[in-house]
Amino acid sequence: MQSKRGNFLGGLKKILAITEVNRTILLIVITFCIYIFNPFFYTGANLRLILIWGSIFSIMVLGAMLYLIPAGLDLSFGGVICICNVLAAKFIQDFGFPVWLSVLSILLIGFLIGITTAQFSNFFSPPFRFILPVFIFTLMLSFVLTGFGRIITRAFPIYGLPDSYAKISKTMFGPIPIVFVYLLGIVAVLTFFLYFRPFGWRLFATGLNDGVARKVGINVKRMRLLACGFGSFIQAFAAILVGSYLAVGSVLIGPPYLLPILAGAFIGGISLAGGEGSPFGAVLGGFTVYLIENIIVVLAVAAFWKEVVIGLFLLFFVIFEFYRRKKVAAVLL
Amino acid sequence: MREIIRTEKITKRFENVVALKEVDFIAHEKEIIGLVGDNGAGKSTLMNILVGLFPPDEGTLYLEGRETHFSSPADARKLGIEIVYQFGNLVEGLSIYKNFFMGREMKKRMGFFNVLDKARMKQISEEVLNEIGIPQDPEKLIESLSGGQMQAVALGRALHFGTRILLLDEPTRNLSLKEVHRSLTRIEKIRERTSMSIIFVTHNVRHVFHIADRIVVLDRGEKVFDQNKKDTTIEEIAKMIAKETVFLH
Repeated sequence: MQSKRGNFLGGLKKILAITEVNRTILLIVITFCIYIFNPFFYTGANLRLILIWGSIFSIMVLGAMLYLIPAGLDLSFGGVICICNVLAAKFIQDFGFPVWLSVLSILLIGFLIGITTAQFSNFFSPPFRFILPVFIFTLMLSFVLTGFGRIITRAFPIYGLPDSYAKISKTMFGPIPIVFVYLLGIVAVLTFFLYFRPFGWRLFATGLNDGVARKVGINVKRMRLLACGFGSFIQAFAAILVGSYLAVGSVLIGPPYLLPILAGAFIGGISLAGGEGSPFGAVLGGFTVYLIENIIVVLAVAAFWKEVVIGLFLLFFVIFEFYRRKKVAAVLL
Repeated sequence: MREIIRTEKITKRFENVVALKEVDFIAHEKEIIGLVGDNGAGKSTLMNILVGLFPPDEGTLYLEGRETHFSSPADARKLGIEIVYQFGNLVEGLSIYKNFFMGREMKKRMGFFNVLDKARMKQISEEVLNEIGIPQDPEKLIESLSGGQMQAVALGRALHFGTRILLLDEPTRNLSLKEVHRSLTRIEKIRERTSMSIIFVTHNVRHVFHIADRIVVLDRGEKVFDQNKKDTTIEEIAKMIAKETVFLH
């Protein structure tokens, strides 16, 4: 009897130790607490909002994840989202591009930004660890791309975008918003490549130890090119979704996402040092950071508290992760 | 014995430093070669050239008599050259079976796609580990193994993939006495069971002398000694490396 109970508890502990499981439980507990304070939280309108913006945030975190797994701490996505969102509006409004051509051009631009980042960083790694040139280059990119956005638009927002552009993110399938369908599609594709194809194993190995990965015959540079290219491609897609949903091309969209997306990645169990992360974790992280914003609105807390709350959440997860890793290390020793 | 790999007048420079100078080296099948030398002798450089980590500046590499050029470690691996570092070429954070098949994953057909055949890879890695005497759950993280066990995983991997030339980089460093004994026994067993050519790179002459057929000594990038073990003594080799009489007892 005693051993059966012990086995059950042991099994339960193992399940709870899985990052994605404990984060999901935590998320459910948080939302339930909020519901007690304000029942509006569980109304259809608010849940739809959470589904739409949680999906968009999650797509952004998924893009960041592709950079982070091979150990590339990307700071450019604020700039990438900014320039892609502005250019999409510009292509449609000023150059008369059809919506489909504008979207394709933006996705290509996003992909090329990622490839350029990886090329630059591969050139300097080794001797530097990959994370360092990526950090520097993407920090520079973030400023430069946002700056270009301002130059192109003179900091004026671009309005008057066609309905066909808005439909990209506003279409609904019954109660399900299309952005959630996009999210499921991206998660499915990434899950397939990360867990069912050699690409995933090799990408994780590159992030965990690029020296050994190279020695066992993995083309580390190609892995990073693909990961960064598709990371920025996903970010560019997120930029189109935000621009299309808000029906505007503005330089104000993008840069403020830096902290929430990095926080989302960390909360979702994606290691900022590389080699760890999962699409499901990224989705959890994306929804959590949007939930924080949503909770602030639902509880009628002044918006100025948003950064403070996200910061406190991060601190909480750092402490949580510290004790979890300590426990795992103790088991291994 | 059949020649497996040969280098002819291999030279490698790093800026102004000559790491290897016109080194001729040969390895035959079923032979264990002790490649020894002090720090900076050029052992690692020679090894890295043999596994395709970088090309030589001058000289030629022959594999089974044919001139060969490696553009990457993957090239060398495809031709059956495998290197095992002190604790294997293993990625901590990944499981045993993932490390075992990393870079050479098995796939199966699923609908329109080729996907990883995880069940088969787990089964094979478990079988090979049992065979070499370290029964382990293939899903365990690699860092949960001891140094000697990690090395055994890497050796098992080399065995399974039909390696023809196995380079061992300081395989006995930092191992306990018991693990050194196990490691040397394992290497000898591999030689008995396969036609592999084994190049054992080490500082520790005593360890390699015990199992080697031939000893090659490098000194400041030059080959200064290359003889069968039976024609030399451990003291002579140690003296050549240290350049003074060494008391080994």
